Amino acid sequence: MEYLLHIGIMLCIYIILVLSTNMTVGMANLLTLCQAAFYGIGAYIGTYFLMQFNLPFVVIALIVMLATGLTSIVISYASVKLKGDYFILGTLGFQMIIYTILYNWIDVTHGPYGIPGIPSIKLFGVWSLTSIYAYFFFSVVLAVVVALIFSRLQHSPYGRMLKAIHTDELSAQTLGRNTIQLKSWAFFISATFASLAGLIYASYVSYIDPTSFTLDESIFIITALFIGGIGSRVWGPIVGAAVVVILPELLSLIGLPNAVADNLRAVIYGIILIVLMFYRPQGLLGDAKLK
Amino acid sequence: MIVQFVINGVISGILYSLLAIGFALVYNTTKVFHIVAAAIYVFAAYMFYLFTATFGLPIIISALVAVILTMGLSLLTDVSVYRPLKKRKASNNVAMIASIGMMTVIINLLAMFFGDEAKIFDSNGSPFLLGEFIITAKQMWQLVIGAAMLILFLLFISVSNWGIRFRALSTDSMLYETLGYNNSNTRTMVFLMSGAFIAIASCLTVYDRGVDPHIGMDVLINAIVAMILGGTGRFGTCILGGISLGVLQALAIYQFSSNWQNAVTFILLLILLFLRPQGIAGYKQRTV
Amino acid sequence: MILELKDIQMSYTNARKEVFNLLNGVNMAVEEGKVTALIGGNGAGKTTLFNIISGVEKGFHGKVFLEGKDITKLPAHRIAQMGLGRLFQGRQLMDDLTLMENMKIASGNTMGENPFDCFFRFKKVAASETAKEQQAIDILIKVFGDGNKYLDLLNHKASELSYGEQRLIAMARLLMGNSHLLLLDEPTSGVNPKYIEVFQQIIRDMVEKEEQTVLLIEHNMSFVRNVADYCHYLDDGIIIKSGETHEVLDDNEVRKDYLGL
Repeated sequence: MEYLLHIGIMLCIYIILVLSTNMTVGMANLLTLCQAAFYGIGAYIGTYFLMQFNLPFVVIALIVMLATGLTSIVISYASVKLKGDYFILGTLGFQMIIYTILYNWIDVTHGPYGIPGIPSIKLFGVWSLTSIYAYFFFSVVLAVVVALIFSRLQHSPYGRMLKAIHTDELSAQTLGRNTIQLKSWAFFISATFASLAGLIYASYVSYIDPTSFTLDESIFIITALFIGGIGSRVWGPIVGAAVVVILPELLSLIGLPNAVADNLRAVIYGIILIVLMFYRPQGLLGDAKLK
Repeated sequence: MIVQFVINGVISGILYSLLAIGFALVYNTTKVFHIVAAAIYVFAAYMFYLFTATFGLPIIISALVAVILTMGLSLLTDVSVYRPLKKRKASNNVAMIASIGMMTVIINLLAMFFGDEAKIFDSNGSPFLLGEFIITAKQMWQLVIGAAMLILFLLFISVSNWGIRFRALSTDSMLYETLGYNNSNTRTMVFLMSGAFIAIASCLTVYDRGVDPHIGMDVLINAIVAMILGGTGRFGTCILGGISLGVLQALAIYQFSSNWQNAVTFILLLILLFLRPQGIAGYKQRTV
Repeated sequence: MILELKDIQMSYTNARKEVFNLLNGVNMAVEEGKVTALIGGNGAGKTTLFNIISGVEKGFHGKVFLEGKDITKLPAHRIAQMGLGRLFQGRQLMDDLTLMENMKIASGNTMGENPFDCFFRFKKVAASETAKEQQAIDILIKVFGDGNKYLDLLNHKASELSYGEQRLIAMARLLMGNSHLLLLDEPTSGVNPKYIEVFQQIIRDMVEKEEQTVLLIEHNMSFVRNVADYCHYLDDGIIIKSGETHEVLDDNEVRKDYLGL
């Protein structure tokens, strides 16, 4: 039973991650390869506050999200102005910079040694989430709330404008819209919610190290997004997260040795991704086209 | 003392240039962000290792075999994925995602087959002394073969028929087709050459540093930054960018430590993105 | 004069380092409340001028004044906010959006178009959405008449409409914003001839009833004669002839160079 709850919690974390990625890739047509970097920044900043202060969850979450959002502004302003490939390169570079910092700045991040003993989240500063049942319930609620938030955004005038920019940015500009700012907002929101997932992850697993926040992880998240589907429906990202979280568990039931299982899983995802790009580039449940 | 570092920097810069050329050949002509180049790099390295360590072939033969096999793999990525996608009018971003997919498949298959631990090559040959500066035997290989390939490439791209066609295709692919040049023959040449350069860069590098499944992306990003630094949209500028990057990194290592070598790359990347996206000698790109 | 171009020069260098002077000192003034046509041969630089005016193209020398204000250095979206509307050649409505959504994105009211409004100001957003819907319906009725078919297609994707219809609606939706000056790039190009009179009527109505000024690029001379008050002829990078339409189109030089008569 506990095993199933664990899967459920990881699923919720990935739902939040993939939903956040859909904001940039699916809605604003900005292909990012640095979601894991924001995920990691959220995890590490969250860890700092969880270990140093006795604050309620909501406060820590807001701090983490805001701080991560601010780091996103560093790269988004420049990259968002430039043509697609430069944006990808910028996010790629950012991902590698963050990983290098997490790995090498041993004084602050403990580098490859990792940070153990991360305390649990305290709701309202008093109730500590100690059991896995509590974490499960909490993360499900959070995932549902986040999904509702994104759904609302997608159907708002802002979401409509993102769709317009996605389709024809030049026309949107000559209709008086500051497309660069609007795209930067999308990037900001995406970073913010990725960091929220990082916070939950850090406190649930209670140990973090840089290997969870590599470029491979960014690619993994993008793969999940494309499998599920990009665009203006929240079900795409949810299904995508479900596929990538549950599939490896099914594989391990067949009894493959762990090392090979990881690689095999990655090979399967790679093949799925290629096949999808041929026959259904918007993903299983997606409704947007990559430009 | 610092000159020693600069020498090392020039040599590693030559290796960046080779990989940058391998990437730029595909990127400039097809406009696809050829991320699978990282996997092609790793493939070449493992083939080199396989034929040297496991089959015991002499180094030169091994390298040649690795280069030929890699050229084949490179062409395969075009024929099996990029070209069919282009026929379906898929956008460049879709091709890039497919490229990421290919990269994942190739690297993980290699990891499954060869294992995750690093493999190294035996060292042989004594170092060369240039006055008071040392160049190791392996570095000598890198320097001589690398520089020779770069010079050959410069000649090729400026003077030969194919070179001119590559440049034409990079500038205006629609015009290129309407002028009657066979796009798919040119693409074949592009991918074969790209594979060759990636393989040469890879073999020369891993001969010195060893191979594990994860070396690809890191070195590719360095090569891409080198390509942009030198100048976008052109081929010869990869050499300028590669060597500049190598020297800058060497100076950083001299000043700080080797941990922050990659920091140079990324800071350069940010500077280029913010201030000068076309690099030193590149063609200006339109925004939006 | 609602629009003034002062000494616009633009050249570009191709990959072979050859320099082409496209615009060689264009001086042009557009009178408010009238329809002005910009004519000239293919490649003369007309669309480039439009790009310069609307702020999309920045690599030029010279100055542009909109309603007396210097807009030379402003970004495209700011210029649009100041009252410039534009119809592009070859682009019309956004395919994936519905007709109503296409109308709404042209609204001058950007309430709700940031990620926070839909949560913290949802009442205001709801109100402005209703207002925009009403405005869109009003404009469609004004332009196409009562009970026109587009009122039933509001929730259909724009891709269901024909090219000509999309162009018409793209023109009509320019009334949703705060535009006073409309740049129309070849409005009738590629459009079924049966629509041309509709275009003529709409453009004249915009000027006479909606207080707009129209500057258009056209190759269809009879259309220009019917709809334009003034005309500017662009050739060799400068405005060679300008004046009232019939003057320009009857001028010997214009007829020889451009019309081949």
